[in-house]
Amino acid sequence: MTVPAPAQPAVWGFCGTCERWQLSAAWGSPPACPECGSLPQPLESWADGTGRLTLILELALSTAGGQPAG
Amino acid sequence: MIRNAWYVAGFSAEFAPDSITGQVITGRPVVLWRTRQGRAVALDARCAHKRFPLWEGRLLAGDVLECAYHGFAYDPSGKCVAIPALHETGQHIPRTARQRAFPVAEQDGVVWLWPGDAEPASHPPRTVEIGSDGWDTINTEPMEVAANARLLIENLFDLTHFYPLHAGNIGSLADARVPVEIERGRRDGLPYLKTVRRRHSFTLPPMTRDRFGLEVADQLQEHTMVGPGLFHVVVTVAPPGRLGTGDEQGFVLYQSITPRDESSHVWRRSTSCRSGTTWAASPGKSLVEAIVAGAPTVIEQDRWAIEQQQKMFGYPDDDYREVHIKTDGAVVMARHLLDEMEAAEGTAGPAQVRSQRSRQSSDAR
Repeated sequence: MTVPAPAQPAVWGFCGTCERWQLSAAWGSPPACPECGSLPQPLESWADGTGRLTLILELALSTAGGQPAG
Repeated sequence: MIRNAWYVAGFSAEFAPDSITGQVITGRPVVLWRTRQGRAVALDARCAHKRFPLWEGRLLAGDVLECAYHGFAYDPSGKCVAIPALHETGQHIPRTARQRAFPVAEQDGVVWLWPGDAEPASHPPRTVEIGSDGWDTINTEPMEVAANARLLIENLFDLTHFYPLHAGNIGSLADARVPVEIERGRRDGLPYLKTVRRRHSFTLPPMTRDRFGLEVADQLQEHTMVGPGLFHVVVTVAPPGRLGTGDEQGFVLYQSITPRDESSHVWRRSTSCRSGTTWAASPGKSLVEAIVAGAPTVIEQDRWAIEQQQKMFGYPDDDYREVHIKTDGAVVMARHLLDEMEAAEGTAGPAQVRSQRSRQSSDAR
C-alpha cells in the first residue's frame, strides 16, 4: 500500500519579474515562479506549522537619508 | 467583515456599574451593562418589540434592562421578563419576546465581545500587561475612524510608510529600509502574523530619541496581529550591544480594531511600560506618560492617511491593479489571512478593501 506524501504547503514568495507576491505550493526545487520561471526572492520557508521569511532590501542608504530639508 | 472573532468592546473601566453602553460592532447594534455582581453582559440592542434601541433604556432591580419605549424588560440572558401593557390584562409574555445574547469575556482589563453566529472557538487573546501591577499602563479613549478596519491593519503592518508620513517624529527613510522578518502560524488556536525588525547601532528618529534619551541604539520591534481585532507591538531599545541586559527600555502597545461597519471602525490603544520606569529627559515623569504624550501626532497622521484612502474607494476603479513592492509582504499576507476568515463565514465585504486587490495579485495556486 502506498502512503501519499504529505501535501506541500502553499508558501509565499515574491517574483520580481511578475512584480507580485504569490501564495503557491508549486515553487518547485530549485524554486521558480509558477508563472514566469524566475527565481523568487524572497521565498518563505515552512516548518512545524510556521512560515518564515526575511525581506532584505538591496537599496543603499544615502548619507542624508533622502529626507527633504526642513 | 469578519464576525466570528473576539473584538474589544472596551477597556474594563469603560463599563461603570449601573451604566448602559451602546455600540455597533460588525454591523450589529449591541447594548452592554454590568450585572450587580459586576459581570459584563451584551444583548442585541434592537428591542424585539419595535426595534427601539435598548441603550436608551434603564436598568431595573434584578439586573433587568427596560426598553425606554414600551417598557419591555430583559434579563441578562435576553429573556423578556416584563411587559407593562400585558400585566394590566393578565396575558402571558410572548415566547418570541427575546433578545439575542452575545458572548462576552472580560480578562486582563479588557471586555471582549463575539458578534458572530458561530460559537466562540477560542478564548480572547491575552493582554496581560493591561491592569497588571508590574506595568504602568495608559489607555486611550476610543477613537472613531472613518475607514474600513482592514486599512488600519494594513497601516500597522506597513512600516515603510514611516517615511514620509511620520518623518520628523517616529520615522525616517532609513527606518523604512530596515529588513523585516515575517512569521505566520497559529498560536492558542488563533492565526497570527508577525513582523520583526532589528536595528543595530541605529540613529533614532527624533521622537524615539526623545523618549529613550539615546541618539544611537539597538532596537527590536515586533508587530503581531492576533486575529482580526488585536495588534500587539513590543518595542525594546538599548545602547548598542546592550539589548537583553538591564540597560533595556521599551514599551508594549496593544491596538484594538473593532469594525463598526464596512467603512468605519473604533481604534483603541493601550501602552504599558515596566512599573516605575522613568523618562530619561525628566525623571519626575514616567516613561509611559512620555510615550503616550507624543502619540497623538502619529495617530492623527495614520488616521488621516487611511481616511483619505477610504474616500477614494467611493469612485469607480474597475481597471485598478495594486502595485506590489517587496516590502508589501506582510500587508499582502495579512490581507490573505483576513480573506480566508471572511470566506470561511461567507461575509465578504467591498472589493476595494479586500479580495479584489489581493486576488489579482497574489492568487493562491
